[in-house]
This record gives sequence, C-alpha cells and structure tokens, in this order.
Amino acid sequence: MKKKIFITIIILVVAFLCLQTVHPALSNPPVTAEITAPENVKAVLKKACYDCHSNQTNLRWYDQIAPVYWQVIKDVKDGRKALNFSEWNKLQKPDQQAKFWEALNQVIAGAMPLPGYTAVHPDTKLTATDIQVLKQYLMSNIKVAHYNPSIDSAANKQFKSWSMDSLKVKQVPTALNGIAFIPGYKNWQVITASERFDNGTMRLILGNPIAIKAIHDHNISPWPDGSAFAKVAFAQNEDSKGNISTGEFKQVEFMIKDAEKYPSTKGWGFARFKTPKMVPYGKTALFATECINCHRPEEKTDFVFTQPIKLNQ
Amino acid sequence: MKLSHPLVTVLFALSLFSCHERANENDLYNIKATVPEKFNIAKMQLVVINTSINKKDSTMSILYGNKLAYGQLKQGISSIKSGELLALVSWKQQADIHWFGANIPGKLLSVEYVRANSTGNGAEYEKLLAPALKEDANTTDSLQREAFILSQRPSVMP
Repeated sequence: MKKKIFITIIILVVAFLCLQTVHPALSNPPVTAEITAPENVKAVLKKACYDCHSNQTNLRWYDQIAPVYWQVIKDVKDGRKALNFSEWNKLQKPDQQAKFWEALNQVIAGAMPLPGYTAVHPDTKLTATDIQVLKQYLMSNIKVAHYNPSIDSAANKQFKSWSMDSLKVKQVPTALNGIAFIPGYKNWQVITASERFDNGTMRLILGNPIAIKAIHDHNISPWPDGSAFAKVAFAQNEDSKGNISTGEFKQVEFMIKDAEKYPSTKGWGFARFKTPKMVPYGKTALFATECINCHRPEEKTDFVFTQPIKLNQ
Repeated sequence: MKLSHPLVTVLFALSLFSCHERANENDLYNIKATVPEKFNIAKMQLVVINTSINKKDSTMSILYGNKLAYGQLKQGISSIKSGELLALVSWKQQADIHWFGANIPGKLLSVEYVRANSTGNGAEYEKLLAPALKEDANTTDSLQREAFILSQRPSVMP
C-alpha cells in the first residue's frame, strides 16, 4: 500500500517536472512609442495594466510554473494585441482616446484587470482613488463643443444632400463577417438616445419591430432571436443659443440576435458602417471580437449596453 | 506568498460555477425615463425625427412627428400644414451607469405638442408636464417653444 502511494507521488512529481520543460519564451520587445501621461496616471497603468498591456511584463516566480505559465503567456499575448501602452503612440489620437475610455469602462465594470489575475496578484487591483485618477485625467482631455459656424454649415450641407435623396447608398455594402447594411433601419422605432461626451457625439438607438415587441412584452432577458438594433451616431452640433442637436452623420452600428448563427460573439452579429457612404468597419472578419470584448461586461443584460425606455409604441 | 492567495483562487474558481446573476427590471430598463402610456406613439403614427441636448438645463429630448410633419421638416419648411403633428419629449439627463462618458435620459419632464390648429392655417402649442402629463397652465413661452420645435432639423439617416 505504502509503496503504491510512493510510486504515485513519484509519477506526479515526474509529470510535473515534464510539464516544466514545455516553456515557451515570453520576450519583452523594445518600448518604442510609450504613452505619455502625468506621473500619477502612469503609476496606475503600470501597477494594474502593464503586466499584460505593455512590453514591460513583470513575471513573478509563481507565474512561471506550468501549467499556469501557459495561461499567463496567452493572457499577455492577447493583452498586448488588444491594447499596448508601449506602442501607444502608433495609434491615431482619436483611437487613443477611444481605447483609454474603453479601458477605464472595463475597469469600472470589473472586467479588467482579469479577475483571475487580481486573485493571484491582489496588489494590482485598482483602488477607488486609482479609478478617480484615471477619470479625472480623461475628463481633463475632453474638448467641450461650442458653436462653430463651419461645423454647423458642414452639417447643413450634409443635411441638404440627404433631404434631396442624394446620399442614398447605391449598392448595399456588406461587413467582413457577412452582415449586410440594412437600409430600412431608419424606419425603426427609437429605444433611447444618448450623449457621448467622451467623443463628442450623440446617438439614437433604434430597434426593429421584433426588438420593440420584446421590450413591450418584457422579453429581453435574453433578447429573442431576430431582434436587431441600429445605433446611429452623429457629431454634436451646437447652435448659437447653446442647443445641441444632431450634426453630421458619423456611422451606424448594428447588433442582430441569432444565437445559432453567431455563437462566437455571444449570439449577436455585429456590424459598423461608417460615413454616409457606409464603409464597412474592420480589416478582417475578426473585427467582431473587438465588439464583443467591449460588450462582455454587460453579460447580465445579454451583452447589451442600452437600457430601453418604456414607451407606448 | 500570502496565505490568502490559494483561498481567493478557490473562491474565484467556485464563483465560475455559480449561477449567473439575474437581471432585474432596473438593470434591463431605464425605468426612471418611462413615458406614460397616454403618449401613444403607435396610435399617433409617429416616427423619430431627431434628438437634442440642452447643456444649460441638462436636459435631453427626442423629437417625434407624423409622416407629414417629418416630410415638411426634411424640406426645411417651418410653417405648419394641416394635419401636421410634432411631439417633443424631454428628460433631465442622467449619467449612464453602464458607460462612464455617456449621459442618457433620466426623469421625464414634459411632452410638448405642435399641431396644425382647427382652422388649418396656423399652429397650436400644448405642453404636458410629467409625471401625469397634465396640461401646463403656464403659457408664457409657448410661441418661442413652438418656433423652436418647428425649426428643428431632422437627423441625417442615409
């Protein structure tokens, strides 16, 4: 009996040691275009984000033991691909802003840093003060819209060509994941509106008849197959009296529910069409991963950010 | 390593197998912004025309209209035609708890109507106040509000 236990332990130890021989390298590539931000902001990023989102990964000894190590390697690779503060300045300014706001929202929602990571590295958790530092930094970078005659006249010009039917899309474009632009979205009913002061836009969120019925019937947890939303984004256009209304059309984004058709993106098909020419967003079909990654913290509400207003429609 | 680490890890692993948190009515809907059923979009056959914000008052509005009114505003005509109906629904803004960086409609404030009057050669303005959508007795700025609503530019939706 004792001998058996002894042999089992030996086998386990040998197996464990064998695992350690599978040890893919994780390098720290040179830091070429690191983010420039105030010291207190950078300190938070270094503490909470840099292990996976920079080329300055700091592996602790216990991170390097297989099989945990394999997961660590994957997290760092995925992390750097999604957001890399060491290559930050390679992004365009508006993309940097959008990424930073998204990152902070992932933190606020508790999705980042990954709960598995903070469980093992409790010192990387963001405190309320850390979050406040990031919030204040972003708020200080906001450009407040003011009446601007040239923005207003550009919006008016676009409005005139649209009202004379000259902005009609001639050929229906298709996103790289196969989702085609839905010209009829403009006839859908409105679910809510939103002001996005993080990027100076405002939005109307519309729902197709299936979605509107689901809202009415209290059947949105989960949303039924066939539900579709169109989120239409406009520039904010302030008039001389301080009223802000929808200016130039920026883009329309679709979410289409079909649990069987879109299993890899939690049952939702995503597509984004930019400018009145409706240019499909994304370089490969994998662009939808970006969409669902941002929506992932909203699992409780079937990955939908929008809370519909109850309207008799 | 601290003693708490393995424990935390085990608890975390267990939480993965627990049930999903159920969404309640307040998670799913923007209850605060509810518009009473009396405002019947289907019955009045209204479509959405635009959305606007007033920073000074921290309010947000959605403009609705019937097809006729929508067509008129699309052509930039601010005088009213017989049969036209416009409705401006306004809310106080609230921060979007799902997105730091966004504001969404909060408490409902009012529904304002602009419609062609019975003689068909002018406009009629009416303001209903939340929560019950009762007519506002104060009519001092009706003409101004009527002109504001009739001057709205529809949102470009190609």
